[in-house]
Amino acid sequence: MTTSICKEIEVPNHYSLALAGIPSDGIRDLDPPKQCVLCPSAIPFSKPKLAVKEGDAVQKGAVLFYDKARPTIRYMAPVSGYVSAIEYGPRRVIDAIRIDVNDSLGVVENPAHTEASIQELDRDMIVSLLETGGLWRTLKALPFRAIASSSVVPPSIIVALGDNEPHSPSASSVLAGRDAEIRAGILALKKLAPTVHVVAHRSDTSTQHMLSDLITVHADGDFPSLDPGVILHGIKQTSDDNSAWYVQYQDVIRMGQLLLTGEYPSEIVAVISGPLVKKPEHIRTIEGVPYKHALAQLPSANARYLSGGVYTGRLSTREGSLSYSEYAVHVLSERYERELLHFFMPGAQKPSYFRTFVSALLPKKQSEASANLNGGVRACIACSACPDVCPVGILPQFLAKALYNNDIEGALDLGLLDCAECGLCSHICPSKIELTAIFKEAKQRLYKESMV
Amino acid sequence: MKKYIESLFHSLEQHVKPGKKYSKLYPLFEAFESFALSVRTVTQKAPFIRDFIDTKRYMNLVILSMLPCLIFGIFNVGYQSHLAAGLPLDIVSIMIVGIMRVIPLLIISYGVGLGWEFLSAIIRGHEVSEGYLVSAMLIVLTLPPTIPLWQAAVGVTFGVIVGKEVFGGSGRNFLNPALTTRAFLFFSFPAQLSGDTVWTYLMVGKDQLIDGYSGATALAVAASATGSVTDALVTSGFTLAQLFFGLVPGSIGETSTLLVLVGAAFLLLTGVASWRTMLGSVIGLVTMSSLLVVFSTETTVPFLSLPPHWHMVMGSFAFGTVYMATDPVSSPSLHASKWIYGIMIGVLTVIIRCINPAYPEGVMLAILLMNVFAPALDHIFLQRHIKGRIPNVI
Repeated sequence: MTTSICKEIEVPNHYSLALAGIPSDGIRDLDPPKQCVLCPSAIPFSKPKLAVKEGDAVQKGAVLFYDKARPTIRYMAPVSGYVSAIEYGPRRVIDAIRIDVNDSLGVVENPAHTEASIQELDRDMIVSLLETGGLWRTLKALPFRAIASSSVVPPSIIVALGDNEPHSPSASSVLAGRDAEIRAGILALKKLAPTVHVVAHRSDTSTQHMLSDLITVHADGDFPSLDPGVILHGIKQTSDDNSAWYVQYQDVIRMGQLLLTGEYPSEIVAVISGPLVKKPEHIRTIEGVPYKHALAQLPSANARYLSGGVYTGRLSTREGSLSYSEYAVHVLSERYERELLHFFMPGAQKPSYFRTFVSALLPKKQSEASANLNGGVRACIACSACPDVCPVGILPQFLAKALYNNDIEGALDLGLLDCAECGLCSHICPSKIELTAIFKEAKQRLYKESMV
Repeated sequence: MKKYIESLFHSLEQHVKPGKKYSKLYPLFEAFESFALSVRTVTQKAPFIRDFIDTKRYMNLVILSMLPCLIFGIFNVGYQSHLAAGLPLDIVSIMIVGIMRVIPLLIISYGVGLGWEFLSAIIRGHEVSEGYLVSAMLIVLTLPPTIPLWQAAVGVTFGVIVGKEVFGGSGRNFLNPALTTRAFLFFSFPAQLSGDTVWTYLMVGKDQLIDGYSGATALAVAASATGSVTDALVTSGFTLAQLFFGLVPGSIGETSTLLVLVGAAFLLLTGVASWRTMLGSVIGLVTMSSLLVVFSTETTVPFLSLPPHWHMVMGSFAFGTVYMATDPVSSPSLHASKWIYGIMIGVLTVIIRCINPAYPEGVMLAILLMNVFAPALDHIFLQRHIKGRIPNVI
C-alpha cells in the first residue's frame, strides 16, 4: 500500500545481529499483578517530587510524582491501591514506589472525547489534556531526548510505527484492533506541531495496510532504522528540523485511549525475552508490573535484567519492574565461565561484525547474547569500523577523541547532537571503549548547561 | 588444566588487587591473565551486549598472517647461508641454520620490547596493549639476518620508548613502532644495515664465501646498473620468478612476494587490514614507475627505466605495503585519506628508490613520512565531512 507521496529513507550503515529469542506473535494476557512498582530514578533529566507518601491511597490516574522544575509533567498511578513503600537509593534518589493494588478505590475520570471533538480542540486544550492525563511525559524532544516543553512549537513530531531493536513488541500485534486509538492520538499530535511524520518499516505490510492514509515515511534497514533520531537524520532538510519531537507509537495509542475514554491507559503490550527466558513472548499487562509477576520463572544467579531492549535499555535488577513507557524486559546471562586462550580459537560459535572468526564463513545463525564484555578495555587502535555501523553518519572515533580533549565545539561540528544513542559503535568496538556512553554523557552535560 | 590456571590467577590476584602490597603490578597481572583466560567483566552501560571481537583477536590474526613469511624467512636465511658458503642444500641443515639465527632475534625482540612495555604499563598504571606482539614480529622480519643481537635490542628499545611510549603507548603513537626501530638502526648502524655483505648470514668461523658470491640485493644491482637494468638484474641472478618466490638475499622475512600476497589475502579476507591502503600503494607505485619509464632516456639513470612489475617484486615493497602501511594506528582513519596515504607511499617509494642515490630502498622512509602526514590528511577530509553535515548545534 505504498502511496506515492511517501518519503523513502534507508539506514545506510545497517548491521544486523541475529539475536536468539524472537518472541512468539500471539499476545498472552497476564493476570493483573498484586503490586505495581514505578521507578522515578530511571527517568533521565528529571528531579521527581513526590505527591504521595507511604500509606496513602491513590486512584488509578492520580499523580504519584511530578517534575520539580516543570510541575506540569506528571507521572500517574497506573493502578488504584495503597502506596506500600517508597524506596530511596544513593543521594536520596527515589528508586521505587510500590503500590499494593486495590481496585475498590475507583479511578480518576478525565473528560472523554470523540474523534470529531478532538478535531475541534485547540493546541492549548490538547496540551492541558495530556498534562492532566499524565501522558505529556511521553513527548520527547530531540536532540537531548528530554521531555518536551509545551511552550515550544516543534518543527515536527516523529511517530515510528514500530521498533526494530532486538527484541521489541511487534508493531502489527500491538496495533491490531487499535485503529481508532492510534488515529485519535495522531490527530492530537497534529495539533501540537505543523508536521507529524508517521513512519512505517517497509517490511511491515500489515501496518502499512492498516494506516496507509497516515503514513508519510517508509524506513528501510535493520535496527536502529526506526529510531526517531535516525529517521530525523534521513528526512531533515535544514538545521531548523533538529529540534523535532517524537513519541513511541504505543504511547500514541495510549494518548488516543486517554482522549477517547478519559481514563489513564495503563494497559501495555510488552515483550519478555533473552537467553534465560524459557519462552519469549508478548504479554498484555499493566504499567509497573514487577518482573517476578511477568516472568513465570525468575532466573537467579548471574542473570542480567534489562528494562527495554539490549542496546538502549535500562539496567535493572531481579526486583525491578517495567516502569513508565517500557515495553520489553530482557534477561541475559552474565557468562562468567572462562575460556582458555580464547583468542586462538577458531570461534565457530562466536558471531561477530568482524570477519575474524570462523563464524563469518558459516551460515548466519541466531546467537545467544550475554552481558560479557568479551575483551579487555584498551586504547583506540583506529580500526575505523565504528563509522561503518553508525546510522547517522557520525565518525565515532573522532567524536570520542574530541570529547576526550574537551573540545565541545569540535564535537558539535562532528555531529554529537545527531547521535541516536543506538549503541552500535560500542557494540562492535574491539577496544571496548564506551563510545555511546561517552556521547550520552556529553549530551547530558550540554543539556544541563543549556537549561541554566 | 583450566581449573588449575583459573585458581592460580585467582590466588595471584589477591596480591595485586588495589590496596594490596603489589597493586602496582596489576597491569602485568592483567596482561597475563587476559592472555590465558577470557575476561569475566560484564557490561555496566548500554549497549548491554558486545561483539566477540577484542584487540587480542585482532592482533592475533596479523601475527597469524605473518607466519608464512617467518617460516620462509627462517628457511631463506639458512638457504642463502649455505648457498654463499657452498654447502650442500639439504633442508634439515638449512632449517637448523635459519632457526639458530632467527629464534634468538625473536627472543630478543619479544623479550626486550615486552620488558619495556610492561615497565611503562606499571609506571603509568594502564593495561598492556597487544600491539607490540605484532610489532616484535615485524621488527624481526625486516632486519638483515646478520644484525648483532645487541643492536637489535637497542633498536627495539628505541622503537618502543621513542616510537610509542613517550606518546602515551599503543593507539597514541603517530609512527609505526616497527619501522621506527628499523629506521633508527638504519641510521645508527649503517655498516650493519646496508651494503652488500649484511644480507647473508654466515656461521662464524666455519663458513667462507665461495668465489663469485656477491650478496648484493636486487635493489643494489638495479641502482648500480649501467646499460639495461633488467639485463643487469637477470645476469646477477635476479629473474622475475626468483624475486617473486623470494629465494634471494634480503631482510629475514620480506623477500618472498608470493608469501606476502598469501598474508595479504588472509588480512583482506578477515578484514583486519585496509584494502584501500594496499591498493592505493600499488596504484601509486605503478603510476610513478610508469611515469619514470616514459621520461627515462639514454642519459638518465638506467634504474628509471625499470618497469612497474619489477618494482613490485623487488625489495620490501610488498611487505611494507601489506604489513607496515596498513598499521591502523599510524595510518589515517578516513576512507578518502587512506587512498591518498596509500598512493603517496607508492609514489614516494619509487622516487626514493630511483632518484635518491643514497638509499637503495624507499618503502621504509615513504611509510614513515606518510605516517607523519596521516593526521593532516585526516584533518583535511574531516573538514570536508563536517561541511557535508547539516549543522546540529545549540
